[in-house]
Amino acid sequence: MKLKPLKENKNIFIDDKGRLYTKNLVKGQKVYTEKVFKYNNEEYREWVLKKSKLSASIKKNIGLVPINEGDRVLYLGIAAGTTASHISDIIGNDGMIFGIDIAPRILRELVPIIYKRDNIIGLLNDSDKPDSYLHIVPKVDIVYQDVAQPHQIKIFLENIDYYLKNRGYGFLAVKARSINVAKDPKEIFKDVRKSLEDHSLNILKEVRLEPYHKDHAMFLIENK
Amino acid sequence: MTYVLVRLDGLYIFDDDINNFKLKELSFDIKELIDIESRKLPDKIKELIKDDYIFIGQKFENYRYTDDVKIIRKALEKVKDRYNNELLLNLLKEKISNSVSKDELIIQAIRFLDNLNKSINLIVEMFREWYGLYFPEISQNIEDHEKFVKTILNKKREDLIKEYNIKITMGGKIFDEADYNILNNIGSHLYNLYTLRKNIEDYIEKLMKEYAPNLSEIATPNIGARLIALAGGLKDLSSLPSSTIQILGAEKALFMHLTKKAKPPKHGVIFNHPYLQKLPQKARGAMARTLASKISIAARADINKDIIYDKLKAELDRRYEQLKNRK
Ligand SMILES: C[S@@+](CC[C@H](N)C(=O)[O-])C[C@H]1O[C@@H](n2cnc3c(N)ncnc32)[C@H](O)[C@@H]1O
Repeated sequence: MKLKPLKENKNIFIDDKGRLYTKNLVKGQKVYTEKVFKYNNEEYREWVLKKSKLSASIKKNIGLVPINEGDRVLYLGIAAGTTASHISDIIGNDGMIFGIDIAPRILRELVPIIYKRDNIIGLLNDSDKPDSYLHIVPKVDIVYQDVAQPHQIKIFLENIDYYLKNRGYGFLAVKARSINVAKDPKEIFKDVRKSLEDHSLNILKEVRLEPYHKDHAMFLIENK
Repeated sequence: MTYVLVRLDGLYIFDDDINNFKLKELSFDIKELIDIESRKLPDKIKELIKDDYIFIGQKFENYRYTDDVKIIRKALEKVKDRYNNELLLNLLKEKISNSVSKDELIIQAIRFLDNLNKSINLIVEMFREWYGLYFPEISQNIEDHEKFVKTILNKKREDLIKEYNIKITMGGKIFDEADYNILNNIGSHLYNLYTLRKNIEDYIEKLMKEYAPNLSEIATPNIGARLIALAGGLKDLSSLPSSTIQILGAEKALFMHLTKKAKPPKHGVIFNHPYLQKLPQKARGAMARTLASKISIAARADINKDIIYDKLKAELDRRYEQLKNRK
């Protein structure tokens, strides 16, 4: 096996079979079911495409992965930290993820991960009330959202208005099913696009996440 | 005008156009952080607030505030980038701990009960198959699983043959002590599982009658608990429209209706309510509607800690009698 940095982001790696990896920030820590292994004296974790909408979107050529060392990230719907742990690997110890989730049960699983990852702060809050964490979260370089809720676009936009820097980036993972079970996903994604444009955000790219995540899409936007 | 923003590291006091600020450094403990979030101002901040101060995005009771996004953005650009990870981790743990509620207990108990039932049925069916080698006639005589287990427990074939007056058994002759003992051993564990099931049912009933007395009376404790579980909590249940309550638990049928143009479901878990069960098919839709609306009122009363179930029950009973007698 041979690992090469990705051209879109030098802190993400790809092997000759097209699988993605990040360098493990916390030696020996396994966060979910991913493979952890040594290569050239460095520890890597596989970024499983089926477990993460972000790695799936990279695989599906989102083209640009503007996540840098030292970034501040507001993560809405952090859950057990599967995707966040890879972002944590990428941004390194100078970066910080503010991970919001509304469900105490799932955050219980995040706590042991945070013990060893100093660049993740877990917050039990409703991201539909962005003012409820105004005393903690700062201006961020990236807003990442994956909450699978009918009104998820509104939540995304509100948080961008509060927290995203000018020229900052937003990742929006949309699950068509959670917005409307009866409607054609294509139509739903069209509506999403329109809401984002109406909010005067630059849509840099939209990718469908099949076959890794059915009826899902990832939008990458830039704040003006 | 002076704008202020409470942050983890203290009180930021901004000038008019949010360009400059003074930071009054403060540190908060977990209780104060929880207060801040629930919009109660800790005393150490109160002391610092003057009449003309306006909070940025933070709506504390009896204080002025602005939700102007431009001001919020600008203020956040200025604040310091400092965090106390350990404090925030402890805050998270405290909030997780505080989130454990009676709802949660009900949800776990009802889910456990359903899975226990499935497990018991699986085990008892396999047990009856096995036991059939020993004494099939008794199994053929008693259809009810629980009764079957209670009947054969600690009894030998010789006793049962007499008790049930069976002359010749088809059961195998090769059974020795060990072959019999293992069967009886399984039987006694099954017996305990039935006892456990009863204990859980009693527990749910008691919990429900304390926690949601109106809902328990109208829906029955068991169905009430299921509705709470399906809605995600009593509060959530109380805020659902009764048309939704009516079909809670029929999500699959609803999905088929929306996507495959199948008929819409008439009822979810409330279908098991004794009144619905006793009414003829054609009256059930009407009963389900009334029941759902009474359930909705009952759940709201439970949230407000009112006791109104006598009146609700009387109304429900009247509707039931009406529908029963309708030709
Ligand atoms: C699909 S999961 C996220 C998975 C995660 N992003 C990952 O890839 O590892 C969606 C999460 O959003 C959370 N969620 C739903 N509504 C929310 C809200 N209003 N605010 C914050 N989190 C929410 C859920 O509790 C759930 O954990």
